[in-house]
Amino acid sequence: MNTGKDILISVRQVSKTYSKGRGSVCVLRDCTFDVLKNEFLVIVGPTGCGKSTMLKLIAGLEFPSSGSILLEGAPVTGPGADRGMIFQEYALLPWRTVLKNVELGFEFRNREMSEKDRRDEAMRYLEMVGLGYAAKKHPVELSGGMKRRASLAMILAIKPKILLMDGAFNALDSKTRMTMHQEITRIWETEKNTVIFVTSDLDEAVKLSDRIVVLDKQGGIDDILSNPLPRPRLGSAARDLDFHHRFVSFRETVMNVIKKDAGMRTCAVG
Amino acid sequence: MALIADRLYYVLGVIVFLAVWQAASVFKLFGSEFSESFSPVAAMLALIEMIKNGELVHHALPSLRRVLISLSFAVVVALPVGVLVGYFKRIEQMTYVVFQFMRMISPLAWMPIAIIIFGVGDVSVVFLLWLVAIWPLILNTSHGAGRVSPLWVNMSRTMGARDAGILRKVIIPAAVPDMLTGLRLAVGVSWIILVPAEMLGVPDGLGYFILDTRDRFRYDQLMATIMVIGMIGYLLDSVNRWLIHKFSWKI
Repeated sequence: MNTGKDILISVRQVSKTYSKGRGSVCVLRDCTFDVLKNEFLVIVGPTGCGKSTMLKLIAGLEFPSSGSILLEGAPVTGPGADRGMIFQEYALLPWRTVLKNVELGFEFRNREMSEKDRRDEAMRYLEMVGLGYAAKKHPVELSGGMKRRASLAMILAIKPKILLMDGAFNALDSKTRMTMHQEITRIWETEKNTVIFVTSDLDEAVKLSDRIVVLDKQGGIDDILSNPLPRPRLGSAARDLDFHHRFVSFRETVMNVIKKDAGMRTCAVG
Repeated sequence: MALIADRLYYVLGVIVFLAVWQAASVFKLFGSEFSESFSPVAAMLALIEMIKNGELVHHALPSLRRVLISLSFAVVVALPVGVLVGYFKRIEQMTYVVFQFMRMISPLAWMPIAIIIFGVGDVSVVFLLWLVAIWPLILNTSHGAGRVSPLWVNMSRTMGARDAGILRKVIIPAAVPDMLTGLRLAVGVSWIILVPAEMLGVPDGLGYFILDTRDRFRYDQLMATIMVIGMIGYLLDSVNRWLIHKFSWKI
């Protein structure tokens, strides 16, 4: 296994229950896994299995009911700029231009930064996600894909060690989605950050991940799978027949893990 | 073309209104007391007279001054209060009943108290106007600050923002459209309350002038003053609508 110093985040026996009426609902059950430095970790599972909650716990927006989450050995006590979170919905501020939205992080954190430096730096990140041409537009003028990219630039600009992406590419058309897969892979490779990516799309999980954490319907960890596919996996590499074969075969493996969980549930109910 | 037709209908409505008014006074439709000195033509002539002899400016300026001063004080107090009420749930809970209770009381009911505290004069009038203007401002601002998307707040926190930064960069700008709506309502009610408030012993202002023209049996001037009150109110509201148009963000 991995040596201790490669571990960036350590999730230890984490459970999360919400009180609902007089009872309570358990959304995460005894989850334990590690996230390694510079790893692309994807969390998959059926809807409502607590994937998003897991991300919020790591972000420090919510806290585990039991268990602990360690960030470089220290417990997470709240949100921090080392963990940038990209939300399912677009979190752009509608009264600011795209460029001004990207500058927001600098305004919060580097208050001594000059206006020109802020602008230039924000522009650099907009160019990175291919949105430089839309810097002066307001969010209301952007398409869904452009909004995603703008939110991505916004979070990247705060240079988080860890990128937390919650269903970030849901509801994008397939072409935009492919572009976004390439962008996020390229940015992850150049910026050398760690990505925790939540999705319910297996293709996406297989394309992007180093490892896949599969959650089951009850919010427990079903299995953690290492992705055997070589990189690069996008663009021309994906058209290689042998690669395609391995791609389908690994997706099948992941699928079987999920199906097995579904089967067990049926038995339990029956 | 459609635009011109639209405008024509706006103008037409005004013409019909003036025609009915003129006819009512010429043909004594509202009884013999509502005579021709109440007609729009007479009011127009009186208005020209009031502009020429300076009476209009002499009475309109103090009115505008009182409304603007009280609005300024109302904005200074109500916007911060509204933001705090909207952002902090506990403050909202503590103030809810009191604010809803207070806003239902006509400021004129406070008149005796205002006069006991501030005496007859400008300060009492400004106080009464202030008292009517703060409620729409506070309630709209708190509504705006309270419905700010939790997503924006969460995102700001993950970007390393603290409460002060979130208030300044997210909550307050997000509430601007509601603040402006509150301002529009505040201007409306202040201008309406101004007239009775100025009947409480001040020596000038449009409200005072209404009583003055009545006492002098100058019903043409009375109607002219009523027209001026309506026109200035309309202008003030137009300025507000322009502000809302200019500073509101769209989703």
